[in-house]
Amino acid sequence: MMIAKRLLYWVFVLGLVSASAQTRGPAGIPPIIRPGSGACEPVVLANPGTARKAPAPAVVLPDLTGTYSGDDGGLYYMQQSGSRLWWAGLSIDPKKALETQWHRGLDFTHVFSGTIFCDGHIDGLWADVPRGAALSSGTLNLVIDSPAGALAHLKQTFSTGEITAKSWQKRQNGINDVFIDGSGTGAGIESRFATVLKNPSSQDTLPPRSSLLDNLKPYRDQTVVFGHIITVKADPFGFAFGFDYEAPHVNFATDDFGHKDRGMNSFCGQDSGDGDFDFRLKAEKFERAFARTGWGDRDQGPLIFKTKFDEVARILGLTGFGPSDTYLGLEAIMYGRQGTCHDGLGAAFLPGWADSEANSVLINGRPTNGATRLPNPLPDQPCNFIQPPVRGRREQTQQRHTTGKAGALRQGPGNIRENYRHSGARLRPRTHLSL
Amino acid sequence: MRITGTLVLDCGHGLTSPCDDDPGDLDDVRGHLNQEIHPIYSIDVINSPFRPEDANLTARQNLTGAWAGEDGSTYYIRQIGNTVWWLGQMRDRQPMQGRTHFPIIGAEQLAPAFSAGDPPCSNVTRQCWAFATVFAGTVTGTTDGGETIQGVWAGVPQSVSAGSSGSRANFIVNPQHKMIIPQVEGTIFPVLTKMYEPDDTTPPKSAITATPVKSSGMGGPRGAVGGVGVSGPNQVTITATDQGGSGVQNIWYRFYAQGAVPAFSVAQGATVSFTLPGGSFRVEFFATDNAGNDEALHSVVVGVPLAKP
Repeated sequence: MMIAKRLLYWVFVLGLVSASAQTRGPAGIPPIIRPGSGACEPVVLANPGTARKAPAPAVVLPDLTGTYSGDDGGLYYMQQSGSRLWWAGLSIDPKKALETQWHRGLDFTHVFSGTIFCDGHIDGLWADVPRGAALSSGTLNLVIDSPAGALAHLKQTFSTGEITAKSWQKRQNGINDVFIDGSGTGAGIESRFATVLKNPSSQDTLPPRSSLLDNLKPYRDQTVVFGHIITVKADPFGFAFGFDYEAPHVNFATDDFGHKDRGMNSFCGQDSGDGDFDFRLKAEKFERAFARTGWGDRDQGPLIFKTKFDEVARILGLTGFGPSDTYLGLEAIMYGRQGTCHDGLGAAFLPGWADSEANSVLINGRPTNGATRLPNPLPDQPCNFIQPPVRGRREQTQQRHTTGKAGALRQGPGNIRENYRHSGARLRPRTHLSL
Repeated sequence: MRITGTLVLDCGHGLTSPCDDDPGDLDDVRGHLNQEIHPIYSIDVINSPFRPEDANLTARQNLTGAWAGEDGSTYYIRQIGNTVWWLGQMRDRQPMQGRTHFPIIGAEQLAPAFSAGDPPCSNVTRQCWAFATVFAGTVTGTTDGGETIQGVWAGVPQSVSAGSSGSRANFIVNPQHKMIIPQVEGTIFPVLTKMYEPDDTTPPKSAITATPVKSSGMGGPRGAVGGVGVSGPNQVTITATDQGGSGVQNIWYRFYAQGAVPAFSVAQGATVSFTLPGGSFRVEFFATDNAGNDEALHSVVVGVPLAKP
């Protein structure tokens, strides 16, 4: 619905508290500290034959738990558990305000686990995890160097692997995924829907413009659904909204297919259609506590949706649906911005397929970056299209794995040129859907 | 496929225009087909136990990848050797505003798909829907005999809920590397299913060692890499590791003393051993991984020239 033009698109297939006694942990990770006492480990001076415990420092080490900013721009969530320090570190897009970034950690996300010693130094190991693009790992030695009474500050003394942060400063206020501004003002999903404005440029002279909330009633945020793209021809309304096999690709517009601008000019310049990332899902499984959590004030939400889910497949005449399967509409938006085309659209409050990086829709964990034109890997093809993001697989590997047809598309007004070569070579190995 | 986003009713649009959410009027509710995930936040293509055809897909040689929790969480797992790290994230965002607690809907009202497997969920702690955990542990066992993961976790204050001290946790990995199952039910950890693997663009790394081969009765000299050594036969071992996660595929190697340079030999797997006769040999080798990344060529000298009689 919202925002600009019908997107003719398809994709893919597409404990630890301290103690005097330590036990050696699993190979490669720091020793496990048994639950017990204290918040730091005594320093053992490694003088062979005369090892002794260093005296406890005169000062009390600060509680390290909290949210930190690294000098690499990253956001670090630290948890002190006795004499163990853990953290999750997530990269931040330097081009966007921290508070408005929807998906964090896309460049790197790593986990750290270390031991806090009573002289204020911390020794540990870290490893990137595949939330981000980086996959490095190594050792990391730190020292707590914050003045008494000040917010904790950590400084790197030694590291291996590709970690760039040299210091970490604890923030006065934590930043979690609820907040949208630096003052910690919350922005739950309903207020985000009220903030994001719809596009039609005809409304620019008729403020206030419609918001997403005018048409969409949010019931439950961050809902997770497992299912399959429907491939049957389901056209219950007699419109051209059938489901056809289609090569996996991302594209846009009903005219000038493959070359239409996918940026804000197009978003702002036309009123026709929507800019949707649009398909239909045979939903086979919802997250475990779907019916019991996350409904906010909408106590009746589960019952309403249950009723709909129970009936919809039958009403649509869909085949191949089990008793607990259902059918769900799925749409992305082009941009989820607070402003208008006249004021630069403003900050992103919801992810959009044409938006970039942290505010884009993710496909297999990578941003779609829909407005960015990528070179066509097959030069004889007419489309300058977007494909699910990949990172440098070898062509040989791709070809070995990319067999079979894939993808289904809700066909909007206009025609989609069926051409499997549009993006067949860009499918992700082992993650394709053969529909 | 795994979709995340906001569950909405689409009101005021053409075919699905009415948006009656009065549960007392079920006929009306039933009559409209406007339930949507809108907008989508992310789409994950999953090698899914729901799809029998996925059973034949080759799983990566280790656990590295993104895993879907049956509670809706996402676990980003990295395996380096036998060490396993992860960050597990529940929902990124506050589900809905305006309440201090959440409704409990009686299971008898819900279809099996709704109620099956619902865990106890505290209205107070919110832990059931918002947390982030980090984990470090070790995987042991073999792929065909089953693997276990043992380690320690802690909660970090990324989500709405505060961080928390962790504890030990053990898991079982199924032989096909497609599911990770907590050994003890009822913990905060769900059953995990692998969703996708990151592209491996990191070439493997290989290293060479040389060990002297004792000749009978002669007490053989020590071997060496880099020309520092002596002239007896050497047992040479080349071992490769792959941090990128797809696993070592082959080791290419060749050795020669002088004259024509031979073609590379190829050894499958992450290690190869061979014996060099006495004397000095140049050994050239590199490793490849299953994603097609080639390591840069190593070229070393093993042994030193035989002493002239």
